[in-house]
Amino acid sequence: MKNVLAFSLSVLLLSSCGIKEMADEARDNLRKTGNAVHLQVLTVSLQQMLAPVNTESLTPPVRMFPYGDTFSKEATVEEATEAYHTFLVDVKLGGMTNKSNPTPKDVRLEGRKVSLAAAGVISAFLPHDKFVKILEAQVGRGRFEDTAYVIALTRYTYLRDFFFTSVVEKSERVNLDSVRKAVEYFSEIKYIAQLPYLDRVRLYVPQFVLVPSIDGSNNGQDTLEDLDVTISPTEYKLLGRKAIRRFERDEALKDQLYNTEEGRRLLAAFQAD
Amino acid sequence: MKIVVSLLSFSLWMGSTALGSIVEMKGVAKAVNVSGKVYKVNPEATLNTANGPVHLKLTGYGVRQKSVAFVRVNVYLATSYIDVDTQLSTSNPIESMKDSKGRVIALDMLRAMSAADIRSAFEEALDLNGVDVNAKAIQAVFSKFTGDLKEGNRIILASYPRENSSENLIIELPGMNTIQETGNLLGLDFWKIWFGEPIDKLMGELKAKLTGANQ
Repeated sequence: MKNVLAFSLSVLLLSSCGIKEMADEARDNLRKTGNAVHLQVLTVSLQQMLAPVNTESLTPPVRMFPYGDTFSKEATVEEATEAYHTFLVDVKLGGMTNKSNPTPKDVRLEGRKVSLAAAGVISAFLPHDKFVKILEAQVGRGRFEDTAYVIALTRYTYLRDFFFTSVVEKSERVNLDSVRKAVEYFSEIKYIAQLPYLDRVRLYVPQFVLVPSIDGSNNGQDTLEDLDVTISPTEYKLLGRKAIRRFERDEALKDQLYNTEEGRRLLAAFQAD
Repeated sequence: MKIVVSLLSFSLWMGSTALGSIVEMKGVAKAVNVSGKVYKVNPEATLNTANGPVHLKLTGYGVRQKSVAFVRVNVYLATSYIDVDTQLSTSNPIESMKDSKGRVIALDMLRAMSAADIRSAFEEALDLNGVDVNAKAIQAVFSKFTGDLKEGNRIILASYPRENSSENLIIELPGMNTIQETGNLLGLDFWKIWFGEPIDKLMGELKAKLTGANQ
């Protein structure tokens, strides 16, 4: 009887070990599959962002937007930072790898502009929490501190020039949902404009902006000027007032903004601190 | 006699505004090449006001460029005129043009834009310069600022003083669409868009060109 019990127990133990191994293996396979899917999403979205058909027009690079959105949502904080950094390296060093004194006809210039657009799109689509984590991980302590400042700058620029503008300037009709979206963009813009280290938020790229010859200037030759961009700490106040002016022009919306609790809360969000 | 002269000049002004532009470009035009396209810039002009014709001189011209997400785009070619008696200050142009008898700015569009886009840009520049954008006269101007502008279209803005500090502002849009409003320093307020505090670095560069600071 004792022997039978011992035999049964050992069979049970052995079989349960087999089940555990199988479960571990299945979990490991799932993790690998999940990781492969994750990497595939990142790779495909990056490939598509840089595909020639999606980089024909960069003002704005709208065809990059869906893929940039996917990449920014899928990438981890580290992956987003490193991908952005790679694009930025291309933007800054691209000219030097070609010629020390690039001309407007330098083909590399176009490629570098695409890299800057890709970087800008990634930064603009980053969810707020991820963007904050990048700053927290890099500012004052991270390997990519310089890059983090540029991420803030391109995010600000893209949100202002394309996202906020698309609602406040380009929309023929506006409603309460337009206001909600504008507040969302405005809050991000304001958040960046109020960063305590805004003076470090700058993008400088020598010989990057093509300036066409006007009236025979520079012997009729197009020239390249430095790109040197910073953020005005007070510009967001103008943007807030601009939004209010636009939304007040619609009488029905104006009524909703001033006579409902949500409307008043949304309007208050545009007021400067 | 004075009344007859006033009536005559007023009727002449009405006639000129009814028939065409209140601004006549004069002198031998200079051909200005902007990205392969040629535009004309005249050295002088005459502004037909309700007070009579005002002889204007060119103060400068330049291209308004705008940086859209790090890419520079040409928006319009601006050409500025002021009455011949006014000496335009390069350091404080707005102050120096307070007493001018006439001012004109011609904008030749270098890209298509909606009137709403221009209105928004103008409002933002006025706001930056402390102008009350919600003022009745300014809103009256903007409410008539409609339609789309195509590349090659020309907008003419003209202003001149009336009684006390009131000023007439006339904006000629393509298609014989003319906006006329009178308001306290209305014209001077609008001129702050180009001659006041610049809305961005590139507008600052245009301001220097329009005041002739770099000539």
